[in-house]
Amino acid sequence: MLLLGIDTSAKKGILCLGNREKILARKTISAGLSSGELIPALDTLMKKKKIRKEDLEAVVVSLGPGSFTGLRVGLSLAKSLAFVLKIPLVGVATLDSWVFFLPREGIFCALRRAYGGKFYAGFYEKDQGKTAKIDESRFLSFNGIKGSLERFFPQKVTFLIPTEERELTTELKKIKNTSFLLLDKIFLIKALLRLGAERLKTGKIDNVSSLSPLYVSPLEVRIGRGNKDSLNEERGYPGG
Amino acid sequence: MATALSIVTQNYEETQKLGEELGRRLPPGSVVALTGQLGSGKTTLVQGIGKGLGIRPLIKSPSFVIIHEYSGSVPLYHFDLYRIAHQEEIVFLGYEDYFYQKKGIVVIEWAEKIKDLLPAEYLRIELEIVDLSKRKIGLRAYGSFYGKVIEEMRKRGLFCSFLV
Ligand SMILES: Nc1ncnc2c1ncn2[C@@H]1O[C@H](COP(=O)(O)OP(=O)(O)OP(=O)(O)O)[C@@H](O)[C@H]1O
Ligand SMILES: [Mg+2]
Repeated sequence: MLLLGIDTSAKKGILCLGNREKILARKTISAGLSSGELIPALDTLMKKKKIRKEDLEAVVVSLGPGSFTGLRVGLSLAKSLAFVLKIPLVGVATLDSWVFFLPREGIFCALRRAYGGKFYAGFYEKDQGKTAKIDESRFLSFNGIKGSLERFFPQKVTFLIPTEERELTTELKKIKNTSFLLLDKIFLIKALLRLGAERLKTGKIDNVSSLSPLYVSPLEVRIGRGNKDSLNEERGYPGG
Repeated sequence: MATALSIVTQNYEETQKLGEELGRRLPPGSVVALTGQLGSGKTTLVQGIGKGLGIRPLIKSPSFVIIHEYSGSVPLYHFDLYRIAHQEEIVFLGYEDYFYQKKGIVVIEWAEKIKDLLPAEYLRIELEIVDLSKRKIGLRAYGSFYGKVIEEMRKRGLFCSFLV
């Protein structure tokens, strides 16, 4: 099944074509992207691989957390393509996809830089191949992250960090009872396509008009709830 | 390094001039938080900042919009929060893409309404009405980024006559 993946949650956006198993083509979109630049970039990418728009079978979009403007730019492109091409749309919570794709078990804290020295952090437990979200992605300071780890003691927590933000490891190394894994760009793209494909397989398709970005702010107000299809429906997590 | 400066302006023009001098010195990415009651001169100061940045159209109080963008070699993002009741309202506007950019100057009227959302570093300007035409204007740098601006304003002897 040919999927178009769109991820504009980070500074550099990504457009990719691929399926559950592999990436066929990908393109990085420079920081400060606008919707006007995305469409020509997509056009070039598809022409390069001789893929016609009729060949696309579904659109998978990264819902965030991430930049407010970036998320909206990506989601509007995803929605309009799904609408015009009459193909399914699947929204994937960015941090969920990392853990879902990771072939490991344990407690994970998926982490990405937000702004003003703060972070977006999501806590997960992966057990026997099942991923459960412990709580919704949050906007935390470094100390906030440290504090959130206490509840897991004495279990070890593994931080998942995109390689672009590898400088974070210097600080994170100082936190006891933790380790970290760096996720490269290919991993992030494959993760998006994989969770998207999984959702499609199980028929969890999103509504083009109601899907909204997962936007996390310092006030703990949530705008839009992403999609209702949380990972926890696959395995209920007590509490959290 | 000086982190605070207090100035008294005698009339509207002087406040605008103060803004203009500030506008010339604020580095891109600056966030300026204005506080002060109705008619204390916040918009007047923003108009001056716009002039200092070489922005042509005269800056007005945005009556229905909360954010007004003025393009220039250094753009100005003018927030007027008079009408907002809760800080959440600017979260809905994606405020962080303004507050944490490095390109333009952000100026916020009624900044006290978003205490929890102001960045760690910003330039705070408090305006007080002394009488019909006098305004006491206090500048305070939060973070080292703005200390230099205040220092420069002082060194150049700008507004020396009004220093209190
Ligand atoms: N020294 C002064 N500096 C600035 N304005 C002055 C001064 N003396 C008198 N004024 C008058 O005060 C008024 C200031 O209006 P301005 O719109 O700048 O205030 P504001 O703080 O933005 O008010 P608002 O809270 O309604 O937005 C103007 O009418 C101006 O002419
Ligand atoms: Mg005003």
